[in-house]
This record gives sequence, C-alpha cells and structure tokens, in this order.
Amino acid sequence: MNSENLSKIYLDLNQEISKIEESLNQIEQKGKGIPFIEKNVRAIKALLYAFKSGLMDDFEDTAK
Amino acid sequence: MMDTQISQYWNPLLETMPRERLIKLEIKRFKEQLAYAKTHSIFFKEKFKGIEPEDIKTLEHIKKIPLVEKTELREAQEGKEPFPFGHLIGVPFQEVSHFRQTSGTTGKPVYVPESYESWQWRVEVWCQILWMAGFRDTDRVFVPFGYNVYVAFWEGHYAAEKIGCMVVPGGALDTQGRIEKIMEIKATALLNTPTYGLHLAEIAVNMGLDPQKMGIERMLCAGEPMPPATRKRLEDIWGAEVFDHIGGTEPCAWAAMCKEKDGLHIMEPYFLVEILDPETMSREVEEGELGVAVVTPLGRRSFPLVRFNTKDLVVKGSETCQCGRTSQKIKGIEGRADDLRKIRGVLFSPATVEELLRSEFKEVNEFEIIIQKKGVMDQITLKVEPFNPLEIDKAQMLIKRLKERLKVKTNLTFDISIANIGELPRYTLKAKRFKDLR
Repeated sequence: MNSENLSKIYLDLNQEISKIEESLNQIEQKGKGIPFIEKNVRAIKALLYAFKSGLMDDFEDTAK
Repeated sequence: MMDTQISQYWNPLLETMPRERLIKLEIKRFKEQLAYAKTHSIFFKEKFKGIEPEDIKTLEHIKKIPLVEKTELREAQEGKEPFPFGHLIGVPFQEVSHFRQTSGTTGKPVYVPESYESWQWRVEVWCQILWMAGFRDTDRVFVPFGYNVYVAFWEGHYAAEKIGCMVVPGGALDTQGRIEKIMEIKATALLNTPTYGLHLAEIAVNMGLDPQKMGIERMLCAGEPMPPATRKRLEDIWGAEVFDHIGGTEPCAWAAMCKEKDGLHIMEPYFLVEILDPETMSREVEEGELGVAVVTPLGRRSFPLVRFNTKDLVVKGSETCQCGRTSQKIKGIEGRADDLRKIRGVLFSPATVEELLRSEFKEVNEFEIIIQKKGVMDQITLKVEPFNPLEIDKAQMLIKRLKERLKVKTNLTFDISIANIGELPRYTLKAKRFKDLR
C-alpha cells in the first residue's frame, strides 16, 4: 500500500465519522432525558473523539 | 509501504507523515487547543487575555506565548470552584468521569479531571505507546501495581484492554503473590516501575524461579527515571524487551520508545513538544543539546493545558529512526530541572520534609536525608538531631510520629534514626542536607 492509498483511507474515514456523528446528534436529540440513550451516545462520541484525533481533521488544509 | 510494514504501526499515516506536514498539523491543532482553553477554562481565559489563536502562524509565534508553571495550576485550584478542579476544568463538572491527582510531594497536589472523552484521548495515545513496544492482542499483561488515584498504569491498563490484550491487575497481592499470579496466568508482558521490575526478579529468584523462564517477553516501565544501564539490566534478568516512556499526570505520556530503543519518540501530533534552552526558556535547542520540555497536549479538553513547563530535562534527538517513524526524538531523560527525585515510583521533594520538620517538629534542630539502594529497592533514611538529648521513650515517640506524618506527606516509608547532639554537619551557606547516593 502506498502513502496515497493510505491517505485516501483516512480521508474516507473522516467523512464516514462525520456521518456517524451527525446520526448520533439526531439520536441524542430524540432520546433527550433517557439516561440509557444519553449516556451510551456520550460514550460512543468519546470513542469517536479519540478515533478522530488519530486522523487528519482537516485533510485539505494539511495536504501537501 | 507493504501490508506487513503497515501493521508495525498503530497509526501508519500519522506515524510516518513527512515532518513538514506534521508540523503544519500541530500548529493547526495548537490554535484549536488554545481557542478551546481560552473559551472553556477560567484560568486560560485570564492568563492568555490578548493572545488570539488566529494570530499564530508559525512555531516562532507559539514561543511568544507565556509558559504555564505548576505553581499556577495549584493557585488556580486552591479555594476555587468547582471543587477540587477550580479554574482549570475545561468541561462542565457533570462530564467528569475520572479523578486523578499528582503525588503532591512538591506541594499541594494538582487535581486532574478527566471526562470520558478526554480519557479516551489519553488511552488512544497509550495504544500507540504499547503498540510501538510490541504489545498485541495475544499478550497477557500483568500489572503488579496498586493504581490508586495516580495516573500511572491506569492508562496502560485501559490501552492494553483496547488493543485486545488480556489485562490482569495485581495491586492487591504481595510480591510473592504477584509472582505466583504471573506464573498462573502465563503472563507475557508487565507494566511496572523499573525498581519494582528488579525487585520482582529478586523475589522470584528467592522463590527458586528463573525470571528468564517465566515467559515474560516485554515490559513497559513507568513511574520513575530508568537509566540505560537499569533498562539493560532488566532485559538481562527477565530475558525480555524493556521499554521506557516519559510523561506526567498533567500533560499525559508524551514520548515513548520504539523497538529500536534509540531514544524516545515524541507522540506527534498528539502533543506539541518544545525543548527549550534551560537558561532562556525561549530558544529551541539543537540536536544533542540539553533542554527543558514544554508540552502542549493537542486535543485534551477536560484539563486543557497550553505550553506546560514540565521541568523535565531531556536531550534533543534526531528526526529520523530505523523504525520509519518521522516524529522528533529525545535522546535521553536527564532528570528534573529542580531537585525532585522519584523513589519507588513516587515523586519526592526534600523541601516537603523540611517544611514538615520546621512546622510540626519544633524539637528537631538538624536533619539529613539519604536515598540509597538496598538490594534493588530504593531506601530513604531521615536522621534527625534534636536540640536536647531525648530519653529512649521520647525518642521512640518522635520516630513514630515522624514516620506517620512523613507517610502522609510524601507517601513514602522512611527509615528514621536519632542523631547525637552535634553529630550532623552545620551549614552557613547552601545546606547539603539531602544526599542521593543511588
């Protein structure tokens, strides 16, 4: 695998995570006040935050 | 890059990213971190009034921002709400899920709040540290350490778990019990302090075991400095690979060793680490020069830090490594910029003892602290000389009280003796009451 392919995987991941975050925000709104939903969404978001820290948060800005 | 090569990295893109691009990413993250700190932490809002993130374009701009000292962190918590984190907290108190604190031996402890999110960020950093040291999901990791409120080993535990290792905490056992557990579960890896790694081996030998045949393949050390000779000794005794890292409760672990064991890689781009000339604290030192590490964790929210003066003295290393990682390396850890010592994994300052003696033990005139090795363990001795001779029962009472109060203040167990009147040296200028003979 060359570095271009690798970059493409990371870029795709970034986009996929953004979609998941959007869905989670919607679920969070719908489930407001329900501890089971609120706390599980919070836990998933925390993991996503850590995951994103290993990606390139603004790919175009930092690309060569 | 071949697939087999890729799997040697936890995060291949970031770990092998060209330096120019890596630095660009770090500057971008630094600006975000600064903006976050200023808008979410009362301390940073006040401290960095007038400093605007959008004005930062280069590393040189960053060097103009004031450093953050540990004393400031204490002041920002003392008597401030929300208790006990005060003005340093960067998230609503309800978000705090983990409590950590510094050892407090240099003064009042700093209390560190971790949100679930920030904790996962720390764990992610540690996954890379463990992966670099060869920890894999086939490992059975034993942690012979009581984690308590201190951060050491909690991160390693959670990261090993995330990697998929089988993690076994051994805090409640005595040393013999831990050795038996290592054998029972067929542990392949250990997380411990270097001193305890040596002690474990010594006790194993006393039990008739050969540490080299106990199945330990790798060991990651934390909690105290590990000179190269100690690391080598541990490798010889255990027949295992031994790795080092550097970090702290406030900034997290910010550099660690890869399989080449040629210095420590700074965990870029999770941290922006500046290595500054100790005299000026403004010029970045050159490769091979000694400097003080100033660390900014990039992306940590519950306890945001910007340009934290760790007071860790390190030698700047190269930007290349046989392992292929492109992060800046440090060649070695040379100790602390002040007089701190690590004893059995606990940070110790002689000033704490002096403060205690002067404030609570008015009968004590002079004293001397000596740290030395007893076997493989560190031993700390305090000799006190009273103003007037003491009868045996009063001397024993003094020793008992000292032991109790020192344990509370330093988290260390001291060997204490009473000196004869006039026995200890007197000083007129800079006193030398503290001797580290290790």
